[in-house]
Amino acid sequence: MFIAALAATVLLLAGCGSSRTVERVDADTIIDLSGDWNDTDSRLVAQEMITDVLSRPWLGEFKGEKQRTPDVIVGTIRNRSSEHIATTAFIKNLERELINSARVNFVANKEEREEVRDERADQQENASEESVKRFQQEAGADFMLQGDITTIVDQEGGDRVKYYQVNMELVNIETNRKAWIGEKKIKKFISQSGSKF
Amino acid sequence: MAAALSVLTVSCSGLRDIYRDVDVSVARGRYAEAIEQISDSKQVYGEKSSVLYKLDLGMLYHYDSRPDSSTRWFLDAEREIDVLYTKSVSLAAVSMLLNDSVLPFEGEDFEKVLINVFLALNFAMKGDEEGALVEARKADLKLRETTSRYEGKNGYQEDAFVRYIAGALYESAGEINDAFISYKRSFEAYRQYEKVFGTGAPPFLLDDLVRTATLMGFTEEASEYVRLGGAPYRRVGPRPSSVLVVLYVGPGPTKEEIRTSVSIPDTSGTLHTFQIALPAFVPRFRGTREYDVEVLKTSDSSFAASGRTALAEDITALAQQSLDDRIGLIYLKSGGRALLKFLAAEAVKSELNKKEDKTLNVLGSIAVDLLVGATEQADLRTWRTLPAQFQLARLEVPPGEFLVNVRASDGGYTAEKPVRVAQGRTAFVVVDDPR
Repeated sequence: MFIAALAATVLLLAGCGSSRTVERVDADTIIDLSGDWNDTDSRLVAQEMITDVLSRPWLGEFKGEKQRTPDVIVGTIRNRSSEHIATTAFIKNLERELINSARVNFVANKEEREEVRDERADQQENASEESVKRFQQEAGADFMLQGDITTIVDQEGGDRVKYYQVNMELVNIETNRKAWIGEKKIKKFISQSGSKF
Repeated sequence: MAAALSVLTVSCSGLRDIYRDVDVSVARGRYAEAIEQISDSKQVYGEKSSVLYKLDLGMLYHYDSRPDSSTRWFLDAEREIDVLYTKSVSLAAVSMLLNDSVLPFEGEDFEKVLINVFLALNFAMKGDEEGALVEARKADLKLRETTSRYEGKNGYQEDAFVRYIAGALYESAGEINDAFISYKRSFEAYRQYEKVFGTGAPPFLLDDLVRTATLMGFTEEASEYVRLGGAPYRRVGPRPSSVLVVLYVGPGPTKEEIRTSVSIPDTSGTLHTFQIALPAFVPRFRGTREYDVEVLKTSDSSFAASGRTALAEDITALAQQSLDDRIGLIYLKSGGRALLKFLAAEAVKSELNKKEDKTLNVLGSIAVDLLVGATEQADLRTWRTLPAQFQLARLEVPPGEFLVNVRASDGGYTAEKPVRVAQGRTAFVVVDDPR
């Protein structure tokens, strides 16, 4: 009898499924669920990095020497962390911040350039003479922004401290000289209870 | 009561029925068929074995060379295991009175680490070294967490195979220092493996150690590994390229129930003996097999390299060790459960004895004893679609396109896989002999 009662309890517990609700929120709202790298980290780090890089002396020095705005490209951001990070989204955030700053020119990346070159080649065959775009007129980048994301995780039971470090460097493509190095750190404390009713 | 009993025992027998068919499909290499069999049985796995359902599907998609689908299931299983860290107190109480099968399946420690191994191989098969390395780092975190949980007293503290795969991935990505450290940890773990499981380091690991130590300029370490048998390495030209063959051999272990007795004295000193049921891993593959690997150029079928695979991980032995690490806890829990059941059953019998119908009393008492015995079951759920062994072969080849032929020396298995090797990179080739 007591077993029958327990079996009923088991069935009841097994049947308690979670019901899903959906609520629309502002895209800028900070929501931390798993403690993993998320859209807020990506956006905030990109903003702070670009604000920092554009406030440093290399920009004024370049403009003074060359009498023009530098062309910048975003290269590879390597994920050296212990979680899958959508580096493409982070790169897009960096690109957006750079373009919107209007203080540097921004050059399309390798994949985008390939597509544009295909289009230009197609134009030579199919576009009208007055609208066709010429070959070998691309703007070559002066600087490349590269970096990586690393994590250090310390955990004890259900408590975890995650420390992200984003390192970025701006490299002069002609001289290989590093014009700027920046870093941004994020520390998160994630606590998961060991029990629930 | 009969209905209650059937509810409590249905899940395990249901899974056994599914695996009977799945085992046949897997042994014949018919993975699409096995995937269908598992997918059709989601209800039998139920909520409590949802992680197991995902692991089985992830594994079968991996065998079927469909890394994207496999990755999706494995990542989903891993997320669910994370959530299961928070244990339900109410379910734990129920499990104290019935058996552990009422708890959600979250896998043994070694199974949790192996999820990342297969994920790493899925990413590596797609040429995504960065993704593969993320998985290697996740495996490292899990090994550290397990060791910390057992305060260093567990037998499964290091995974030599995981470290080796991480080393190969780091080296391929050009991160030589990290590669050297991973190879070194793998080598040290194999020294332990040799003592505990009888699995020594694959012979090419010493060559890898010498090569990476030399590339890093660690001359002292390089000389030490040459002394231990590694081939001397002199860097000439660009970094060498290689093919790493990862071979899965045989069906992984299953869990079976072992019944044993425990005696507990009552206040009057009378001994009461109870049956408890414990899980134990049972091998489905014994011994080992040898495999020859030959790499041929795709363009003209000319010879590029050849070698033999070496045993790199005995999963059956690892499973037994991992279960041994927590068997004390299982034993304690089963003993406690036996006592609680005894007390509850005695209380029910005492109530029955107050009734006048003696025949009913006797029958009732027998029924209670039968139910107590029947509900004592070991949790036999295990990730059964795992292979029994990992074997490895690493062959240095020039960059190019190749056909990799793998042949079992007993003549019962051959496989042919195309592979493209880039300069300085390691291409992963995954093959399996599920016999």
